[in-house]
Amino acid sequence: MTPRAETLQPELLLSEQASPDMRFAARQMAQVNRELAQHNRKVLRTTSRWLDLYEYVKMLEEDHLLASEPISGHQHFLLGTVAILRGLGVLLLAKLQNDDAEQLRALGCTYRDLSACVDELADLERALKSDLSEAMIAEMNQKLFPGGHPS
Amino acid sequence: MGTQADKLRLFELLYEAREAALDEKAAAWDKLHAEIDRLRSGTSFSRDQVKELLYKDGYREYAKRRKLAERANP
Repeated sequence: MTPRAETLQPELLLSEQASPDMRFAARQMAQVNRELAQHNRKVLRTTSRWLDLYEYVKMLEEDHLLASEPISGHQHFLLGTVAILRGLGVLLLAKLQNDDAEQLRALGCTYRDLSACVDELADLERALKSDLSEAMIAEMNQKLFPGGHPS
Repeated sequence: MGTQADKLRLFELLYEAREAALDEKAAAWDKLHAEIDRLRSGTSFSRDQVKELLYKDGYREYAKRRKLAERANP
């Protein structure tokens, strides 16, 4: 059974030790989710909020990338956040496709630009969950890039 | 099929697509996907599988180096 959108609670991803960054992202996701469920005409505001959150999640990912040591709980939070944000993005695209796509011009982007952002999150989610084995990586490299690994 | 330089080029295109301004996102991703499609032609790998490979095999280190270099020379 598909859960009702209003019941999505990204805050459940958080442990008691969650950082303020994580709490902010979770609250924003809950807000986007609520707005998408309201079926009102405020899709532009929701899109703007989603894009803010998209940038924010990318900043969290960058922190993760550049951290000299693993940040406790960050990997799981990032994966959960990316998955939820991608899902909300899919819902947002469906809503825009139905009626308000032209409003995106006010945000300085097109439907395809927004769609690319959602696809980027799908790629990232796939990469974070990836279980590609060393053997599979070697085989793919051999077939795609016979010249070997770039240094 | 490609070469070592082609893989590095894919890292570069992926980085640029991910860093592209919002109004240039679609064009940047199209550019990356066209290059991936060229390189995977004749293989059984999907576009998504090739991107997964990039993330798992070198892209993160590449992105980290680019980010650190950009911070050092803004």
